[in-house]
Amino acid sequence: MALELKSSDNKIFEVEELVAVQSETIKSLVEDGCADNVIPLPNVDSKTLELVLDWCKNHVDMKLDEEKLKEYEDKFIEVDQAVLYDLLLAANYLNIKDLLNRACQKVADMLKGKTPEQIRETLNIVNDFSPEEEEEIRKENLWAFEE
Amino acid sequence: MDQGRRPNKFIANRNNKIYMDLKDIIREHALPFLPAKSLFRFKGVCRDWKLQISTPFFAHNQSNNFHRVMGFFCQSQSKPPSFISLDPNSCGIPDPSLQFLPEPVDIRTSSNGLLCCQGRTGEQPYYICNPATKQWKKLPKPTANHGSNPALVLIFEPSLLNFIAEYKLICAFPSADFDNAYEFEIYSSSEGSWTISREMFFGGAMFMPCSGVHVNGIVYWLSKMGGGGIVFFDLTMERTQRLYSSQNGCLGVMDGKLTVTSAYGQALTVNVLSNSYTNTMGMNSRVKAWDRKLHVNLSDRSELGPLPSYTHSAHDQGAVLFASGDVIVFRCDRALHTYDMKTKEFGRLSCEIDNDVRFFGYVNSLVEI
Repeated sequence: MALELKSSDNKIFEVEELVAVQSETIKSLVEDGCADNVIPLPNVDSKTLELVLDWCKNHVDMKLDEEKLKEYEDKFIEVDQAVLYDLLLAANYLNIKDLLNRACQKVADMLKGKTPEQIRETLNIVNDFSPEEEEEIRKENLWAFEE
Repeated sequence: MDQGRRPNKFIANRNNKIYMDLKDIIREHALPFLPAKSLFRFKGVCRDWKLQISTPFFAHNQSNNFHRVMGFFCQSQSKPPSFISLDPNSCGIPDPSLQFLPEPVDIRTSSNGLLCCQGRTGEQPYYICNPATKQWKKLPKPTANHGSNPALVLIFEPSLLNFIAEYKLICAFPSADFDNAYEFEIYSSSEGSWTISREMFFGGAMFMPCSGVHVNGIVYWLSKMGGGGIVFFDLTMERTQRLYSSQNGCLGVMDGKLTVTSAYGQALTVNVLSNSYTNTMGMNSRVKAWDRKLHVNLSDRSELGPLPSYTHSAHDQGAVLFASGDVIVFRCDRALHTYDMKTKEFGRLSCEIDNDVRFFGYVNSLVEI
């Protein structure tokens, strides 16, 4: 059975139900009987949706071949930061657990060596500590701030 | 970041996770994939992150999601332990010589972020500790005498359902009642007590301390007898037996299977136990249980410098110190080299070690004891 998904930039993707229901979000829509018409996905653009659907399709196809799947996943996640963030947002919105985990692991690898200041800059986070509070955290965990 | 593609977080109910911001997703889902040192540092990012990272629930998540061995403890003789990190920026501990423990200790075994150490004086108690959080617990006294250099294996497998770490500590020790026999005593953290198994190993093997690993409910040790060999204790079946292996080397776990890694000639070889059902066959069964997993030539690698030609006795001299997951650590004289099986790259650790060093892989986990 095929489903129709519409990306934020109005591109229609026809997908096998078995592939699409890897997204828990879409799965719920199917189970509630709301998937007869085109399913709009206003938070995912066509470029990202194409990648996500490729992930889902390969997870159905290679389900029994663990080694091949691992190889595919490793290659799939080698993308630049912008694409990675888009995948992360899409995986969260569509609730695709294994893609979310893989993308998160990759993001973690990218962030792990940074300083708190670099993290704030990369992710647009406001520093809501007072200078005294920040100094205390640093003192308490001095070993973590050293190489 | 392309602002135009970010979901507008004012449209929906803030608790609706469909409209989570990128940084919220990272805070909730990506942080548990980080090693402990990075996480202690990221407490300084903002209040939300500090709160998130400090909860027991987060520690539980992190111990379930982060299991890479990125550091090693070494200890020689009765010196204090030291710590080597593969990535000092992100993986580390506050107190490498473990001075937060009540007395000087010898490290005996390590598993998924927990260390088991033994005091040196008096009753020589066992301690279980997490060196990243400095939490520790003293174990009750065992029933039997484990001897001066016990063959211990700590078994801790993080589980989604257990918020408090549940672990077992198994000790193989020479029997006081029978010659040439070994007995097994097991501590269970959920019971809070030791039990001596009814099963005993007869047959002149010597269970090597610091060699043991745990895979799928079975604990394997190297045995010093004749040409080598492996002995195991099956925790579920409560059975102990010898396992035939043509290769002597460092035991490890890769992709959920037992491996033996050795250095011979100018190469590293990894053999994997692919047919573990041979455990149930007769003692001298020669059914092909092992497969060659990896063979790495070292001779054409100039970055390693002058290499010895490893001989059969290389294992006795501890040529391969660690081989599990994706990492192999091996020595050339006093220098330590690493091989990453995923990237196929060699590395050099910037420290030197003594000949009699005991070496333990360590996972930078926040697990609570």
